[in-house]
Amino acid sequence: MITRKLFLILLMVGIGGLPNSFALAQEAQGTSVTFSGFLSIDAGKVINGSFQGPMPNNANYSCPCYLADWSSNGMYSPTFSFTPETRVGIQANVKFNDLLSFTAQVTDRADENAPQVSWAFLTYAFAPNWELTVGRKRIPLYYYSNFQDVGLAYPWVTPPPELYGWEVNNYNGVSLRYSNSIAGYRTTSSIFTGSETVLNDPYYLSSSPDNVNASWKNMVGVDTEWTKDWFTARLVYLLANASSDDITTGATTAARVHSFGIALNADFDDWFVLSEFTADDRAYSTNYYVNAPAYSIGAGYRYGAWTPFLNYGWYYENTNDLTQYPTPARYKRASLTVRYDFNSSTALKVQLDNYQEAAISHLTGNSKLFRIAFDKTF
Amino acid sequence: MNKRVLPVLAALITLLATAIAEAGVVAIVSSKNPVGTLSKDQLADIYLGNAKNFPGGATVSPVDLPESSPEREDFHKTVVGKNGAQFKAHWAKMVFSGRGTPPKEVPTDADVKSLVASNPGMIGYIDKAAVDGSVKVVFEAN
Repeated sequence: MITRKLFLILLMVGIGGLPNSFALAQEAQGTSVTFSGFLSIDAGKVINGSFQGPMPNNANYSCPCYLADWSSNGMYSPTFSFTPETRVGIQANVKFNDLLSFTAQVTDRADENAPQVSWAFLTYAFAPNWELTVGRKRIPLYYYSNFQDVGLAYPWVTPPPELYGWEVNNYNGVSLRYSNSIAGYRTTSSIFTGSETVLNDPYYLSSSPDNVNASWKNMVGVDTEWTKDWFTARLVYLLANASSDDITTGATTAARVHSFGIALNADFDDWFVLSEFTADDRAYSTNYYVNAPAYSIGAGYRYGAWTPFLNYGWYYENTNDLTQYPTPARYKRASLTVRYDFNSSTALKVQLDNYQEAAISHLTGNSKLFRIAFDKTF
Repeated sequence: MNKRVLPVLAALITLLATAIAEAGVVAIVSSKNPVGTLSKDQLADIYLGNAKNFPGGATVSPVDLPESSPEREDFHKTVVGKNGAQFKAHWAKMVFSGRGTPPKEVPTDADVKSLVASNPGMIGYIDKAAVDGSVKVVFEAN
């Protein structure tokens, strides 16, 4: 299968070691093409878990188990496995001239059958500081959303699942970005709008074995990021009409999504603190709501090539109708990661997670997880 | 040692030390580029991909030296404000967010100078001692 072949080739390329920064550029009549990519080989196993036997909501999976990636249903078991989170991405940037460029990124995950197009958009820099983009992009819902597959860019094995990983990750639409320096702050802000539909969405496999299609329509969002010296702040607000369509049972849901997020990061040369708070509120058409505040806070220390990092994450769903929504998800997680940088584009990480869920959740039970990850960009 | 030599030696050492202190990395553009001077923040914005234009509005393409180069280390630390790993992580974020491509890398000071000299849209940094009439200094540390 092409997918596996591509995957293996990139795996070999990644391990074999391309030059640290390779830019395969071809100049032809003013048009230049640059290829770049990233690779994360993640492996892990559940050390112990409180549930034994079939997963409560989906007997196709068995516990002890740990759900590391909600979007693709990347689930670890007591058997050491590379499948749940290993991924590779390749990106092409075609620069037609100083104003017009095209960016495309294809991501292949070990737990999905076919590569996904994460990016495919045209950028038109119509005035200094301004960019208009048209096409397919990732939803910049949280601080790491745009590059959440690029392991090299953050201290965890993967960003905290308390925040990251919804049923929809991309949108097809339009965005407008403005970047400038204001009062000594480096700032960038954007407004975006679009929609997305995902067929047979793996996100729902943790709550039922059914085939479910999901969509976010009429998405409108704004984000703004401010950086000065050691300080970075980012705010985001998004509205969308979410719907899910259970093909197995014919059941449908429709909800209005309001999502708000704030990230505050402090990066001194050695010490750094990463924090993010989000609130995802959904008002369902059948007159109930689910709101889900979540946060993550972590601190790390760069000691030469070594970076130990401690993180605490928390997710807590509230609802006004336990009849229609009987098992709100509520859980917390603490993790310790140690990262070692071989060079500026290759890193190895080891991470331990302790995940605990409230009895009402009844999702995967409590579990402890061990992971090791090799991250590279090229 | 002859006592009269000491003051001479001291003067020589002072002179040498001053020369070493003065030699340093400077940011350059083509002598054909109308841009005047740039601030440290403006340079950092250009190398981090936040600013894509010179203050006058013309598109800017930064040029970098290889990671092994001491000038690069000096420039990135004092002007851009990031070490090697931080710079790489920043560009991983930018590239894979579809927000740009990192500065083009060329092997030597001489390559930077000749590329910048013949391309008014480019900016680079070289050792101050290597500056000649083909390029114009737009930023000097100290």
